[in-house]
Amino acid sequence: MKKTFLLLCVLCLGALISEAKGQTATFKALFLYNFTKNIDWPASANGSELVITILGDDDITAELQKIAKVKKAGNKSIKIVSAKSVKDVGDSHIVFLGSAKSSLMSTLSHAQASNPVLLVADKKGLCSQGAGISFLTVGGKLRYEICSEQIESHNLKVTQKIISLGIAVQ
Amino acid sequence: MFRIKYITILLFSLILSSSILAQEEGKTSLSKEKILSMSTEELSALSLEDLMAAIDIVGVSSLEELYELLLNKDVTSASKSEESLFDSPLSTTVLSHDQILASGATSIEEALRLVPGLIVREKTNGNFDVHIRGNDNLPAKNMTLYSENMNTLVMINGRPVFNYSHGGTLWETLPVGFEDIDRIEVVRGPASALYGPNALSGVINIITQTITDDSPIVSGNMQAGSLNTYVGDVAFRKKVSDKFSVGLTGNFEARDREREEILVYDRGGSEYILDGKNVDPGYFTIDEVNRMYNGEHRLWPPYDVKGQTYDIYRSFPDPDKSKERMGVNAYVDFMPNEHTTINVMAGHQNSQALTSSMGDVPTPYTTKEAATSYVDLRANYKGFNLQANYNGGTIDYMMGNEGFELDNEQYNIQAEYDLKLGKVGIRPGVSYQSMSYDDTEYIAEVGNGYLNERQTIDIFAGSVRLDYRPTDKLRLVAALRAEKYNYPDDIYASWQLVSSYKINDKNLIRAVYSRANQSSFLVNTYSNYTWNVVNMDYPRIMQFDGNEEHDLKIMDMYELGFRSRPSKSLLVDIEAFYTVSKDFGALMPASSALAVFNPLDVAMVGADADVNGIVNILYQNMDLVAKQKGITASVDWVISEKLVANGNFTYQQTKLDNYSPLNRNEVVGYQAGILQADPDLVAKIGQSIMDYVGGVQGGTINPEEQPYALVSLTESIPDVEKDNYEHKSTPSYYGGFSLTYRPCKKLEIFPQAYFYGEQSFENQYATEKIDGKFLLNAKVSYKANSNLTFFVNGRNILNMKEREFAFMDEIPGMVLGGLSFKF
Repeated sequence: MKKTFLLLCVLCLGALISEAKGQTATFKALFLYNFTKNIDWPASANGSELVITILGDDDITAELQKIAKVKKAGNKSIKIVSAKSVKDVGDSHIVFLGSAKSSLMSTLSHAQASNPVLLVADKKGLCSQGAGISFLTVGGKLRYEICSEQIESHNLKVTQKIISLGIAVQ
Repeated sequence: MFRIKYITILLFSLILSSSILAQEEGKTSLSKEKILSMSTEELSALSLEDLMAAIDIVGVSSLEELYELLLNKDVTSASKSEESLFDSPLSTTVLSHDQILASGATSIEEALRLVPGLIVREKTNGNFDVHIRGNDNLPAKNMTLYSENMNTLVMINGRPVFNYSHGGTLWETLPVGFEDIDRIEVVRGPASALYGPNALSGVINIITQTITDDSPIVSGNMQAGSLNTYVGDVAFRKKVSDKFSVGLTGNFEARDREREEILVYDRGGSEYILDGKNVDPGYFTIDEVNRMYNGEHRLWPPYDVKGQTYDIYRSFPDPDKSKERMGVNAYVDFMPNEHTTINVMAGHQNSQALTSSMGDVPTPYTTKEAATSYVDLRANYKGFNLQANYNGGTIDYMMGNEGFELDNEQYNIQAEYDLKLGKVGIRPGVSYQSMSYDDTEYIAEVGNGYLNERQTIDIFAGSVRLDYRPTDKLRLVAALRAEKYNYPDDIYASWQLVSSYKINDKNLIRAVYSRANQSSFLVNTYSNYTWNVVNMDYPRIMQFDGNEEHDLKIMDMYELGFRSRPSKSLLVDIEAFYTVSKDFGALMPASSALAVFNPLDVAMVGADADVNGIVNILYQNMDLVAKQKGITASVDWVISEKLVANGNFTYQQTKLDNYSPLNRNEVVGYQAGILQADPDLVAKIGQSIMDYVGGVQGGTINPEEQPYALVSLTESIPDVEKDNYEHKSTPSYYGGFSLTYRPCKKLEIFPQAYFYGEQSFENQYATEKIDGKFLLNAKVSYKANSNLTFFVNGRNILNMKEREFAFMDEIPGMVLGGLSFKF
């Protein structure tokens, strides 16, 4: 018994060598930026800035802020807002719901029902709860599910490209 | 000397893992490095296609993947809709298909040892007793039947797999194998409000795989090893078109016991004689039991049923085999349009298991044989869910014993509708279940079975579940179900009231108050069994009667839960629970009578009066109340890409009020004592004979129907109930821990431990102490390529043989080898 435990401890030490760092937050932020190039907001949504509100993901907020510093969406500058609750989400073009807050998708969708906004979830299968786009991992690759019906119900138009590169879901 | 050995191993593993790591990085390092060195501006300038290509090259880090896989699971069974396990309002665990295979479990029951809060005891090789949290063997001091877990509802995709004739789950009759499974979801605590009766301590929902474009066309697992154990399963899956998928699976298991002999136990006052010599109770071969006597009576006398001899050889056709089963399943998934899915699953199983008995025989062992088929239809249209299924066949619960073979037919149909209104979700539903069991084909004459006809239990139920999120952090769930049975003619309500508060994204606390109830079982409701005892001195007749108007057992639970994800790599889950169970019932002595069994001989020929007993055993409710307090803690830790640790521990204490320390036989003995102590007994005997003869002559008594003369009767029950009695059948602590170690991509080492503290098992014949046990298993898998994995699997490698379940086999260590494939 003792020997087995010792052996296990030794193996554990051997295991704690390498750790790979994740780039997922960077990629999701890049996706979100790229979505702005592939979606048309109605005239009523046009302000001087393109607002992306993040609810519950500090890593993605940080990555988006890096992008917002150096890039514009068309000729509009990008404003990144971090919200603490569904109630706090103000007028936005895109709202990103962090994965830990996925259970709030229904509530968020209900609150934003009449607004011209793209709701992005960080968990698969949330289209049925109102998400327009949901990130997911398929076979080790980062992908997104896209639900045109949901997006169009917010008066947004999507390019064919963004639909074809994603996983179309109803 | 030791140190050198361990240092060598450490150095070796360090070198091996770093060299393999360098190899793996070498292949993709160039383009990956390039992408990682690109600036934010450069990356943002990429088109969508180029961005996705770049992301694919870098890949999702395997560490992040591990976090998702192990710490961010989804569960459906807690709320009947998919949610993150962290948010689940109830105590929940999800075991994925890969975890089950990685653990080296040789059966679904054994895999449940990975789940916190589960007590899993191996009775004979491959046959297990599975309990959630405890409440084992209640009421105690009665037939081993009551050790069956009647508190947990096992389901396959929501279809109950439950034995409504006696109560409990015949695990060997599950038609599915490992390859059918996508995950097993275990919800602990009363869940009748969501799933119907018999979900008192929880539900175990086995969810099958969805067939997608990524499904392997053929996949399977095969292993063989000690004790002639062979376990295998194979699955064929194909997504034929966008709308249509089909699958076909098969599985089998064959195992030997570690011995051929069966135990003959001391049934109080037994005097066993083998080949003319007195022998103590113990293990004997089938041939020896066939020759044995208990005093003057043959221990296992053969008799004829419809031209077949029912003897010990029929009861134990393969005493050296513990389990033999096979199952086949077919799947058809149909998606006619985006809003509709239709899943049909059908299959058949055959099984034979040598395991613990449910009845009253000189050995605690029995052979159970089953052949059943099922069809399950699930349809979803937008928010509307419909499920209808049928399960039927023939099960022999105690081979070679007349009256225990039954045909059964179970129908379930339920419809639910998911209504989402912003912050509130409402899910109303209706369901109808009908369970019929019929023993008439397998008994020589009416009266020899305990049902003696086809009997049915019907349940009609309505339910509603409300899920309300008044704020982002607060969630309130209320579920209510009302069931109407044909027998007992009563309405039962079950509920779940939950409030959960998400302090922040990393911490969640929840409180639950719930109630669940047992259903009626055919034995409890309809028993009508006359046992003409021929292998014991007393009594001569035991009449078992069911009770159409008994109360169904209920369990109330109060639970507090806390979940924390202090870092990305660590998940902690703590549950503190308090349960109160009451309205237990059992077949208990209601009355005993003395009778003269040869009244006409005494009257006419002057023979000695043959006076013996008639005991009436009736299914009755008891005052017994079981109160259990416990706490379960579990930790999942992704230490690194190569090492994952899991551990769980449960501590519990169960106290009984109105506990009767007398076993069933002692109550019968008590009643016999009262009857025999009657000072007027001799006179009453004489009187009864005279009354009998008079009755026969007067035509009021038919000696064919009533061959005995009733002398006296008592319904007296000893008043010895105790309160606050510590229930010892459930170990006070149990749990497990495991490590998943992947030194390199091709190798996986999985040591796993499962342990429990000591217990004391009381049935009607004896009390047996079971020592605590520490089981260590280890599986080492080698992934030869993406299609094939070879493994060596050691179970109980410390060879701690002690029996885990009272009166059953010892469980030695085993070694198996095998492979898993997918194409």
